[in-house]
Amino acid sequence: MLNVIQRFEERMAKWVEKRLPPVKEVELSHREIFILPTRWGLLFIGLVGLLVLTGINYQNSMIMAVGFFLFSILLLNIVSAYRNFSGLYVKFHHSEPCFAGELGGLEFIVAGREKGHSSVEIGWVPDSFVSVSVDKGENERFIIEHPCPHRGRYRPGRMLLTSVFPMGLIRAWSWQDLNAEIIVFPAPVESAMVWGEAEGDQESGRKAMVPGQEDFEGLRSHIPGESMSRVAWKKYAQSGEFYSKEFAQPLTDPEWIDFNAYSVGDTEVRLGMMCHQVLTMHARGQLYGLRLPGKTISPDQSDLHRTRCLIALAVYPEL
Amino acid sequence: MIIALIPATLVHWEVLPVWLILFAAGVTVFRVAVFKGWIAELNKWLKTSLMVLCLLLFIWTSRSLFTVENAVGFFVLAYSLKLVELRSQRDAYIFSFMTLFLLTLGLLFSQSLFRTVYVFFFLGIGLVALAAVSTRVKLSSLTGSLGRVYSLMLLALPLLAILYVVFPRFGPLWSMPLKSTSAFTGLDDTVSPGDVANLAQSGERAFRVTFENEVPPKKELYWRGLILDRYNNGRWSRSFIQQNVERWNRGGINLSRDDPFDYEVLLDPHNREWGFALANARLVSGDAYTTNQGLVRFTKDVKSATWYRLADQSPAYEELTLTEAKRYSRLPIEENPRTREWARDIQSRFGSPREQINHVLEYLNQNEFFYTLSPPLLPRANRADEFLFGTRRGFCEHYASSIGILFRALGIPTRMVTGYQGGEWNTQGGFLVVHQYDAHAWLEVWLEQEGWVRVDPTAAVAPARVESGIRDAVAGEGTFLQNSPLDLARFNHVNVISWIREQAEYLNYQWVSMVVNYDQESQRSLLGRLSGKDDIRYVAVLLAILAAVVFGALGIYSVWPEWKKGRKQPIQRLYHRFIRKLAAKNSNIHAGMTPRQVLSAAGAAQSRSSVEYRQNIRLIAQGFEQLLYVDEPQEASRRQILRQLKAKINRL
Repeated sequence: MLNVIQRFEERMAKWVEKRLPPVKEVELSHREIFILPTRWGLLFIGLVGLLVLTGINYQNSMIMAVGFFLFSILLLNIVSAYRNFSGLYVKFHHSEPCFAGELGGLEFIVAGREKGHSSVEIGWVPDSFVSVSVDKGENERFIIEHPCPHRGRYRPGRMLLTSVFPMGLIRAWSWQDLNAEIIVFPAPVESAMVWGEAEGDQESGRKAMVPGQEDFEGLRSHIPGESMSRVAWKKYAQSGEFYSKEFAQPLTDPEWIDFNAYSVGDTEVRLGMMCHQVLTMHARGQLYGLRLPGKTISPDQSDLHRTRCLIALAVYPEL
Repeated sequence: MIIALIPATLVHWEVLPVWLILFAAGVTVFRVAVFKGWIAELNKWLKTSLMVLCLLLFIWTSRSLFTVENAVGFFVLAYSLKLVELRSQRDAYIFSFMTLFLLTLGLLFSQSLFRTVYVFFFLGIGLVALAAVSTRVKLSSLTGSLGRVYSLMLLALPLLAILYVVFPRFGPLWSMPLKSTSAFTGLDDTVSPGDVANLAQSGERAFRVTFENEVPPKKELYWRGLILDRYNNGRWSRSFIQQNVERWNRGGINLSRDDPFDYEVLLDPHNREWGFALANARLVSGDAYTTNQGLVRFTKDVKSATWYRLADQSPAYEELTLTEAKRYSRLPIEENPRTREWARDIQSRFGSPREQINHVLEYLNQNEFFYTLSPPLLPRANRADEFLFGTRRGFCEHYASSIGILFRALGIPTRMVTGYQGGEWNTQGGFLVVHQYDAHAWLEVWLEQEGWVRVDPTAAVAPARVESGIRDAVAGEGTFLQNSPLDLARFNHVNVISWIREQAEYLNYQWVSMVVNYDQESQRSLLGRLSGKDDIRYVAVLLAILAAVVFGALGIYSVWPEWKKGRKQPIQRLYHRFIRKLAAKNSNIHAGMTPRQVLSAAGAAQSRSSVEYRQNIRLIAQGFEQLLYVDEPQEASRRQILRQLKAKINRL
């Protein structure tokens, strides 16, 4: 029995895959919309049946009429649900990377090109849903939070667009793969371990322990892209302009965070540790570089650099 | 949504106990207060005890449990209790559904135009509640969904009309276990003094009549309902023989609605199996029959407005057997000695029954008899004596009863007939409205050579009663509808009010006769007329066509915007078709690609395919590029390219 259901589900998935291939954006049309009554819709049909029966048995025309009327309302609900749903334009906009185990935010755009759309729920089963309404000619951005358990380029896959508008009796829905993607950084793994024991980078490893960047040297004007942690906020408050605090750079070589320097742990653990390291170094404002098998990011210290390093960790072994 | 409870409960105000209405109101207030945050939700114990208390109160106040009224009452109770514990979305759904159901039940007790409009209007509120619940609308944007729901309801009306007309009608599938106990006003099948007078205090409508031909004069409008042939214990009633006659002697044959008829009666529900007709009537159509005494009888009690058509027929002379003659002049012995004495006196002075009757009527007319709605009470025994020789003030039933006793004492076969007399003419609608206050009782006597003849002693006392109605007959004493001071019928002398009454009556008549009474027979008649033949197959075809039209219209309505858009962009449409065709074979190609991308994707993957195929794709892609991105001034040449592309894609 379970097997049959499973097979059926697989076939359904295949069918949906074939019928609705992944797209960058979608404007829902009859090809993509499915409509069925909700359980309340079924109950409503039951109510209609009950009323018509009551009308017949008590020979009461008006009760029958109400039954017919509610039935008409149900039919119009189908039409209305369809009209509300069709023509809805949805596009994946972008996503903000997150760390594994966190909720990642995926930003979408919906637009009502020809007409408005009310109370459309978009998201992934079971609980990453956002309810959106958009007026005619407007567009709406919204972020769906989705749990991202694993490092990498995470694709939540086929999402459910659904609406029970206008009365909750009829559900219109569509499955769409909008190629939504989110980059998930490895979850930082804190480790007391110093990688000095590993061969090769002993010196630099030890030097990494030397605090040398606490010495404040002066201010210079802020360069866009620089770490915000270095902005002289007090100065900003006074002058209204961004200045960056310059610290004495250690004369030593920049630190290298090297995949091969870790002696323990599997790939994922190592990447997690490296992630932690990147974050710590960045927080300290230290110059650091990243070495992954097949990829090297030369030392720098900007926010952009941090992101680049984290992305490299996230998508490893992709280059 | 909370507000929905009020109309849903109020629609049942006439059948609900007062405490239940108060309870519902209390719950509403409670819910609003909780919503505003003034008080907290009830805890579980309080809720349970409230429920038990209500149930006990309910059982205690309702005498017999299994009636429609109590079922409705119980439902209202459950409904109010549901509101007490309205929390989740699920609760709210159920509550909305209950609202819809309860409102509709309001039509069980009345199907008048006003009630129907009321129910349909507030069904809208129920639906708005449903909409609000399902989409979790905030209170502030409720007006938007209000407008949306009501426009949806307007759209539903034509659908409703079609369904109402074509949905097959048939009799009850099974008899409902729950019967209604609510008192319908109307004639009873026994008459003792005071009964009809009570009826005369009711401004309710009994039935309405439309005449095909000339309307008989008012004083001839004696609507016969019941024949009471048995006098016993001071009351007139139907003997078993009479009841059997009514049950088994079916006179008329049931013919179709389209046969000629003289008048049509639209009877308001009175929960009895009898109808009303003028003398010498024959039923033409309707779910009833006429007995050979010219009475209209239904096979079951009339619980909703019912129509029937009657034709006049020439009176048939009925010979009376000796036993029948005896039965019709049977009186309890030793009652009303003075009346008997008077009878003997009359007998000695006048020879023929005709003369005797005329003498009695003359006597009533010449002496101090008064027609009044508030007669003095009569003692239990010898009522005829007390009335004829004592009070001499009474209502039709007093006259009919006493004179009936007198006639029987004279040896004339006599029976009392009850029904209605007269009616109010509605000039707007051209029909006659007969009210409960038109209720009347008179006599029928059997005379040799003539058969049964109507004798109305009341007419002899107060000719105004039969000539212009009870309102004028009792105008002097102000007792007309004195128990219902606000009844509009009381104010008929005010022109505006009589006009309003007439208009409302007319509307309601049209409503009931055209809409509410649409039944199996009228359906067959209407659909037969529409399809030209009285054949159920045509009706079926008609039904199918109608359904097709409706669903076609719905379909077009729903895809219309897309279709319009498609018409505007023939190139894009064709291009989509092209892409779909390629995508079926090549998974690298998907919607949203430009022609050039398609071309490269197709070229990369399709090395196996024929040279011709690739060439074709190239040509088509180029064609699209030309159409989409190059401004081609000539509309004609654009169209030509499009045609060529279409042909090529079809061949692909």
